[in-house]
Amino acid sequence: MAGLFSTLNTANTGLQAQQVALNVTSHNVANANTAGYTRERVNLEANASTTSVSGNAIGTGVSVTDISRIRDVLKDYQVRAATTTNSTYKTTNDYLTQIQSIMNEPSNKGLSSLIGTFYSDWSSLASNSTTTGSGARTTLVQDTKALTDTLNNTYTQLQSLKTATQTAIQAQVADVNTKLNEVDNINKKVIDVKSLGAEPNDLMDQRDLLVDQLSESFNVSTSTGSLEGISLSSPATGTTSTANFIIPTDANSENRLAYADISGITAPTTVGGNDASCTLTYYKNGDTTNPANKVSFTVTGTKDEINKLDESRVLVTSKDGTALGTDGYTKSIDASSLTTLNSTDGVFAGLTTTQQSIDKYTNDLNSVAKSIALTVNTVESGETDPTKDTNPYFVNSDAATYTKDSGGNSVLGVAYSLNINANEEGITAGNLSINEAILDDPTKVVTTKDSTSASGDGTRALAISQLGSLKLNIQDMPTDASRSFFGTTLTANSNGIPTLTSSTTGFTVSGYYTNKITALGTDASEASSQLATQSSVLNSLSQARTSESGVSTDDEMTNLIQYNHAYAANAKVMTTVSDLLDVVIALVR
Amino acid sequence: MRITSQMLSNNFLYDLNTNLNNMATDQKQMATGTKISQPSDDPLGTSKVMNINSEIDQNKQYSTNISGATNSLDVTDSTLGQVNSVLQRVNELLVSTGDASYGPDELNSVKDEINQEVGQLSQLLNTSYAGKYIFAGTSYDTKPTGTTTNAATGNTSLNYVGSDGATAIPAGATPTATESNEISNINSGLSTEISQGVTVKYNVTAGEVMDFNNSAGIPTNLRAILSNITAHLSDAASTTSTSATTSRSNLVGSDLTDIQDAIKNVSGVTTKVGALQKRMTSASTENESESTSLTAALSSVDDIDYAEASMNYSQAQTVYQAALQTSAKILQKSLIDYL
Repeated sequence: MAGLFSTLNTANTGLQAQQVALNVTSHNVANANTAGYTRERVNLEANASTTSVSGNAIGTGVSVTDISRIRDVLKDYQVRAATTTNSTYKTTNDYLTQIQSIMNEPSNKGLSSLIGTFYSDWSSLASNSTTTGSGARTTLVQDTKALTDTLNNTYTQLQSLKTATQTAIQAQVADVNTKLNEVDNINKKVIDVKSLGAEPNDLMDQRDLLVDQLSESFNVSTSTGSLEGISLSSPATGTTSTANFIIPTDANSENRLAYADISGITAPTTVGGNDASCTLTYYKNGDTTNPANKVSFTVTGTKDEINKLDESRVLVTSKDGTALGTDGYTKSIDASSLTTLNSTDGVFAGLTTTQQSIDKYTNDLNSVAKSIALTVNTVESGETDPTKDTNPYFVNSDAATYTKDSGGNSVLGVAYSLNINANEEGITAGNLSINEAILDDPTKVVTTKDSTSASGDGTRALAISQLGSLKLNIQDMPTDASRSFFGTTLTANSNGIPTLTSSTTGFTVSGYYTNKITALGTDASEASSQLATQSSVLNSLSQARTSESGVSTDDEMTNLIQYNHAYAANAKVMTTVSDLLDVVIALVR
Repeated sequence: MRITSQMLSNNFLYDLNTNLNNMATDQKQMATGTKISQPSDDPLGTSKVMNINSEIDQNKQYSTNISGATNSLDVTDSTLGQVNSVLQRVNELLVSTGDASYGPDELNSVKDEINQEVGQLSQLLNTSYAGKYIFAGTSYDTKPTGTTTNAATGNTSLNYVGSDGATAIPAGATPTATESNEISNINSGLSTEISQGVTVKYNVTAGEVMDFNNSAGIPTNLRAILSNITAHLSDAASTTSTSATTSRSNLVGSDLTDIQDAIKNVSGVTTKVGALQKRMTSASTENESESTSLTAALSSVDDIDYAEASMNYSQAQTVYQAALQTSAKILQKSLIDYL
């Protein structure tokens, strides 16, 4: 009797085990297309044997030891590292493509063509310089306006792109914080489930997926602790060298990120001095709905430290949102005491690099604009000292004001001339414009050598058109350069017009611009090919991981058949034992 | 290696995307006809294209300058031919006064004709082309010369004209500073740039026609010569003048020599103009051939070879089709179909 009942029991264990296996198979098949799902496998073990009446060891069936996830931690690590690198290139490639379309070269409507037309117009003007009824003057001023408009527009677009990257950083920070909080929650649940002795497979899958997504943003380091709880951290600089985002044992010491808005950057008073400053504003936990969350203070440091802060904009904060290294009250803080994220790869690193690139190209554009403006102004007026120039050809539109004269034409305001040195030093591609007095009245363009010349004397216009072929040291130009950078004294040319002399180590304006576009093209091409390579690497690592952990429906179907048959066989055993029991019980009658 | 169905579809999508990218690039090239649509396609090529484009633009400007100068020179040349005819006629008339049978009436009619020729000369020196007075140097929007008629003798004399286009200058015996300035402006050169750093003076000024050194090396001018001629003619035709005979002999003496010197001067200027015209022709030819070679260089860097591009495109298309067909077959099959 005991024998038969134990056989029944053995069959029962068989049924249970196959049922669990079927359940697991069904779960796998149901999740065949779920992102981040790891296939599960039932581990069956034969039960311990008992000794029978006849002295033989008889097995007592099967039991399910565990349901394990087939996942290789090494592959996870590789995929995450590749994801982070891939994201960097993806981000820089996206933005460099946008910068290229802003610059719009090579094209016969781009800046290069407009610069060429500008200098050609001066050459045409040299042969048609009388003030009466000459279309050459009007053509020149209109083409100048087209040139300055394009420069202004390109500058504005580059600045918008920079703002867009900053917005992207802000959005990414919010996203990262949300994900970190989710990982935190799941982590706690995993620890709870595990402490009860069960396998939290699906929770761990969700957690792994979130960590994969986080690895797009920055370098993620994880380590597994007790009860399958993970800690997650990332490199930082400042008061600490590691930002600990997830700590299973000590939730209150966890760090989060905050987006820092930087404004009002001032340069240091001396070169290399550490009194450069900026105003930093952030919202605790990124919650902009409550004004009490806004924290603002001044940061001082060296020029490089402030620049780095401006370009990265990601602060490491404590769990409640206060930036590390601050107490929430102090109004002036040194840059070295703030902690910022220091990831070499990932979306944040890519966005920081993009901002640096945009700044570089903006500076190059400014150099082009300023070179054209200052050289033309110098030769047009014959003055290297702007205070002696009463009617500059190019002006800084941020500072220029105009009044109307009796003929309805604009007149440049006195305020501009009083501060002309600073105004010309502050010319950028964004504020360069033609003097409206000249735009309204093209006869004001000075084309002659001096007041004794007849109106047909176009030698000054000729000298200006030759500026297009003049080599200037644009590459060495500081951001606050003035007319004297290009020459403190002017030498008379063969027509007697005082003009600038060519430098042996310099570039023409056109040549410099072409050079910078080539540099942009090289950067973009490099980013694009690195992205292609890295994508391919990521792809093959992902495939290796999917190969290991992915669900193959063919596999599961085969298993289904197997377990199905086994279940049927076990059921048949039970039926047989039941029949036998009937026979035995019938014996008693 | 264990392959799951997800891996198959991922692979398919990744490779399909690569194919489509290649096809898109080929398509864009064929549609625009250029290899380079953004700098990253070929950074070095971009630099070449931009440089060549700016050289082409510069070349076009030089071409415009050259044709402007050529046209101006052509008009100058034909006008100088007419000036030469006028002076030859004056020469003829002077020779004819040597005829002893010429009486006061004949001399007066010679004088009248020469006065007309003076007017004609002024008109010729005031030739304008494309709105500019070609003999007026840099003050080309006002006439350089004019005539004044002496009320007493009725003789016309040639003179410069000030920047108002009417007043004769110099007004007095010695010119004022302003007048000197205006005269030097009339006699200033106009230059144009015909190629990089090369400027050419292409005009002839009224001064070059009128002012010259005579055969004895003494500076003289056509205005003085012509007014001498008409004065001598007036004098020779006068019945009351005491110097009539002297004037009569001057007409075929010093005046004739002077006129012939003036003709030689004009001839010299015409030769210079001819040389300049030749120079402009060769500059124009050079400019055209430069333009052609720049365009060819641009084409070799930037233009696509349609044959090659079409071949690449149809190859890419074939690969794309093959990928689609095979994947369609593979992805559809699974064990479930057979159970």
